[in-house]
Amino acid sequence: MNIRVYIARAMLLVPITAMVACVTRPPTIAHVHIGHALTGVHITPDHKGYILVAEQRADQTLLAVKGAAGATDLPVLKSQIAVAVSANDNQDNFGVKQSLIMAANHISFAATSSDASDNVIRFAPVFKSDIAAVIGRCDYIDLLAKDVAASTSMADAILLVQEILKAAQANVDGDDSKQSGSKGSAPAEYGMVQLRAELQAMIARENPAYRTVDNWYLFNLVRLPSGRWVFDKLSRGGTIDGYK
Amino acid sequence: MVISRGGVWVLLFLSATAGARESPSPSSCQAAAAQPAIINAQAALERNSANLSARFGLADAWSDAGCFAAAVQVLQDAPELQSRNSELQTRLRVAKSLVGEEVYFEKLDRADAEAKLKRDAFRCSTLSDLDACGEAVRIKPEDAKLLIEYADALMRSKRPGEAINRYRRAEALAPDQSDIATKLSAAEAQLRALQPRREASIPPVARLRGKAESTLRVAHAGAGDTTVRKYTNAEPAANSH
Repeated sequence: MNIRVYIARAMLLVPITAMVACVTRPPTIAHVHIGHALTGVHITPDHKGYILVAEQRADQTLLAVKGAAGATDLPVLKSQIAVAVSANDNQDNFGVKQSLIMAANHISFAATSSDASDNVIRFAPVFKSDIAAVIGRCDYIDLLAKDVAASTSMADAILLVQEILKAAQANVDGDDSKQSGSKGSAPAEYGMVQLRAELQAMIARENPAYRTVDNWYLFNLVRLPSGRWVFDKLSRGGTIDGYK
Repeated sequence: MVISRGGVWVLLFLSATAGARESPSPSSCQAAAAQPAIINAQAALERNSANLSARFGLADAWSDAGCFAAAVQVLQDAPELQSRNSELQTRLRVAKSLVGEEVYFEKLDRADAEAKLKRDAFRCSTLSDLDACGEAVRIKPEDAKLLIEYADALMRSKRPGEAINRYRRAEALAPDQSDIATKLSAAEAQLRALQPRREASIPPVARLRGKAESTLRVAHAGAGDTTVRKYTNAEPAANSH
């Protein structure tokens, strides 16, 4: 192809790109907070959104508990349960419990933003309420795991692990504690699958539509001393003013 | 550094999110209405209901008492003319969110307490852990299912006498539970079966005297007749039987 054709095409692309840039608006502050729950935030492992981290940790918990259930001696069983606890409830490493609470908090931040839609405002307290089942199971897993750690009997430890397994499985895909025939039919039965679906349904109702928020916005939202949320034009990665 | 009032409200929200663990009941909010801060703020607003600062003052007073629903009500009652005021809107958003927070923290606390109860119930029913049974029944004394599990655990520990008490209590609480009668019969049978064995293990002299369990333990503590004789010397009144 002739070099002139290249230049001509390039010249054509410049205004098109400029036009796209002109019509691309920054996301709303509310949507950036939602983005922290869904897509990414600068303080989590691999900068993943809190819900993603919670889902991943719930899967890791389940995997480790399954490992414990298959163990043939008490030390191996205990070490697998220790791994499960670390994924389930860990302040330093975003356990299921911490990640989910942070996700709910960020939905609440979204709801208090001045540009939040009625849809987000209505959803925030519902979501906070609906995470209780998973949080309760996290607490239950912690308590039973302590019993496993203190156990000197393999038979007792296996019984405890079977119970932990049920709770860890329910934290992934819900349970049927109300015996309706289907898992997760009420908030008390919710696991991460149902919470994700609830969040996605809220996103689908957004008007104007929610679009995946670009990392620059996700990592550079800061709170001014006045309480206003703004984007840090110096791109300091959201590290100023302690916003998490 | 000057922080706007809207900013203060957002900070209040954030700190509440991080640390608030107590939420007052509607009755405690009724009681809070008698607080001087609320009475004064109410009076200030009544003097000039169009004054937004006075309205914010009353909303703040309710919020300080932890009564966020009342704060929302005060802000929502602002005259139509003021409803577009940006500070009013910020405060209303935050106050509404804090109403949600009350429920949130209540639910988290309840989840924690329920997890403890569930763990005790599990240990009771599966591992026959009598301490866990006792703790679960202490938390929910009127729960027939827990009482039955406690009694079942006592049966497994060969303590039918105590099991019978719990079965009877469960039966009174849930008379429609058909299997309690069967369990009760089994406990009574176990008790009867254990009683002759216990009596057989008691030295004949002590058995004849019909001692209480603690007395019998003293009798067992030594070596046969010598101990019994010693004991009877110490307690001559007991010999009258």
